This record gives sequence, C-alpha cells and structure tokens, in this order.
Amino acid sequence: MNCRYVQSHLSAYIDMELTGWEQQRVRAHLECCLECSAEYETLRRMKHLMRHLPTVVPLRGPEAVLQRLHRQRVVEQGRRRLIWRTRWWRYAWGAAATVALLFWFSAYDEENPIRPMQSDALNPTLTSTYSSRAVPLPLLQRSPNSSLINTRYEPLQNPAPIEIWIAPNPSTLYPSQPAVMPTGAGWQPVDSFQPAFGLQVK
Amino acid sequence: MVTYTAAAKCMEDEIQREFDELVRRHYRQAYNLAYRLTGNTADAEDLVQDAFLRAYRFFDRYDRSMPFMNWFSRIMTNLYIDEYRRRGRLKTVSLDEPLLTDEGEEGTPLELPDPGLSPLEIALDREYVDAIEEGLQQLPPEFRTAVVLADSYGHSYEEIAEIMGTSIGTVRSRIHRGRKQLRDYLMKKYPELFERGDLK
Repeated sequence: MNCRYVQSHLSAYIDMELTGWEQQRVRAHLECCLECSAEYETLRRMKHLMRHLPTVVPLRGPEAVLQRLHRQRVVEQGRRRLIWRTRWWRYAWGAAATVALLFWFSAYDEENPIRPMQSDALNPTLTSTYSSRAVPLPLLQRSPNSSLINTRYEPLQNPAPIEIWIAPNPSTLYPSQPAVMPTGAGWQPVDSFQPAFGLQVK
Repeated sequence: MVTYTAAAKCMEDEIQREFDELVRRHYRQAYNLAYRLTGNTADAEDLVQDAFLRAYRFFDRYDRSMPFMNWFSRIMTNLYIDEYRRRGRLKTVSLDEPLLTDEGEEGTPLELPDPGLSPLEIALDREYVDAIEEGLQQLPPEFRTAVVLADSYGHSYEEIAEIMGTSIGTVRSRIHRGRKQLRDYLMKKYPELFERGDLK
C-alpha cells in the first residue's frame, strides 16, 4: 500500500465508504506516514467544516411554489380541454378527407365500371313472379384483374342454360317467394335457352 | 362531451393535495440544498421552484416507497447541472447577501479543553461561512453537488450515485476531487481554518 493509493482513497476512508479490510489498511498506513496523515487531517477538517455549515432559512415560505403550481395546473387543464376539443374534430375531418380522396382517385371508368350499370333499358333482366331476384343479361362475373377498390366485370364464360318454368296456378299453390324452386307437382319446363349478349326478353 | 369522469377528477385532486403537502413539508430542506448548490438566494429560489414544478410534472413516476427528498434531490441536482451547463457559468456569489440567520446547530456541541476557537465556532463564524460558500462556487457543478450531498446532507455514496445517476466510482472520485479543490482554495485564503482547534 503506497501513499498514492492511500491519498486517492482518503475521502472514501473519511466517509467510511471503504470495505473493512481496506479501511484497516489505510488506517495502518496513516499511522506510520506523516505526509498522508497530514493530508488526511486537512480533508477531515474540510468535511467537518462542510457538515457544520449553518442551515439556511428561506426568506419566503413555500407559497410562491404553491402559487406557481396552481397556475400551471389551471393552464394545463385548459390546454388539455382545448386539445381534446380540437383533436376530436381534426380526426373526423381527416377521416372524411381521406374517404373523399379515395373516391376521387377511383373515379368512374367506362371501360371498367365499379359496378355494372343497373338501368333496365340497357341491361335487360329475367325476373320471376316468385322471386324478386333478377338475373342480369348479359351475365357478368367478377374479373380476376379487378382491384380492391375497383371491381371489374367480364362476361360469364359458358353460362349454364337458364330454364324457365311455369307453374299451374302461381297465385294459390305457392307462397309468394319460395326459397327453393319446386320441381314436379305440375311444374313443367316450357323452354330453355342459352343466354347470349344482346338478347332481349319480353 | 364529457372529457373527465368524476373518479379521474377526484384522483387528480387527491394527487394535487398530496403533492402540495410534500412541497410544504420539504420546502426548507429543498431550499437548503438549492442554496448550497447555487450559492445565493435568488438562484436558490428559482431552482427550488423549477425543481418542484418539474417534480410535479413527473410525479406519476415517483416511487412512494422511496423517500421523497431522495427523489426530489435527484430532480433538483439534475436540473441544476443542466442549467449550469446551459448557462455556462452561474452568476458569481454576492458575499454581502443578508441571508443567513445564525441558528444554533442542533448537532453535537463541542466541549473543548482548548481555550481557542472550536471548529464549530469557526464554522459558524460568518466570515468563514462566506469563504466556504465562495469556495464551493469555484467547484465544477458535479463536484459541488457530490460534496454537498455527502458532507452537508450525509448521504451515502450509494445514495448519491442514485441521486446523480452515476456509478459509485464516479461519486467517489467527484467527492474526493471536489473536497481537495475546496480545501486547496480555502487553505490559500484562510490557512487558519486548518490550523486551529481540534476536531471531535
């Protein structure tokens, strides 16, 4: 244990922050080294002086702090309310604007309509007395190259023949909207045809 | 639109009351530390106020099992060191601040057979107090903080490390170097502080 080591550990020694073993060794060194013990004495005196510095009494009490705290709380509360009020609407406006933009960019394209036109004059449909379900002609199917937003349609490939049946007495025998098309019991196929483009059904 | 429920509002009030109580209870102690760090009344008051405001802002992070003053000292010393860095150097100390009231220390009074001034009397002598405070202001803020926490407040190195957010090794070296610098400064100006009297 040399003087350099001891002197660098003197403060920790004074503060009793060394391990017991180190503490003992430093003490042993101080007993036999004049230079180190002089250093030790002055540092100890320094700590003593610091410890006995008189307590400072504040000129004013904590009122100033409490007042500032109170003011800050009021300001904060106001700000929080304001933020809430504006933020909510800002989000709503943002959402509305986004939706509008989406619609704008997916504008109607005549070649690839978002939906097939539903006009009776242009798109003749087959309807049944028993069902409000309409079969559009020409029959369309969802095109595989339609995007997420813009669904494209193409003519149905090899459509199944549409069968037209006639009931013996439609108004009395069956409920107005049968879930399943009945077979037998007086039903007879009158005609069947292959749907084709441009076909007009009266 | 209802932004706060009644329960949340009630809880907030409770927290505010708790914090106000802590401010009242620890104000003097906090002011003392601030004064030791800044070295003058005006800066000490500012520092205390800013530190309490900051503490309030982060009050939800305060661990109730820990003494408030330890947590608060941490905020204050960090604030002080940051502030010091930002401003470069704090104002110099005015020595004729009419601030200290010579309150008797409640610590152990020294009985000395020696008829000379006892170290306690020396320490309480206005001139020397000023000298020590002046010497403290010469130290870098990190050293000063460590020395003040260790000597004036009797914190252990571990506590200081936690307060200052550093390792114990750093604390040890800061205290040692700070104490040595302070001693050198005082020795040059008032060598009698280190000559007379006997320490108990």
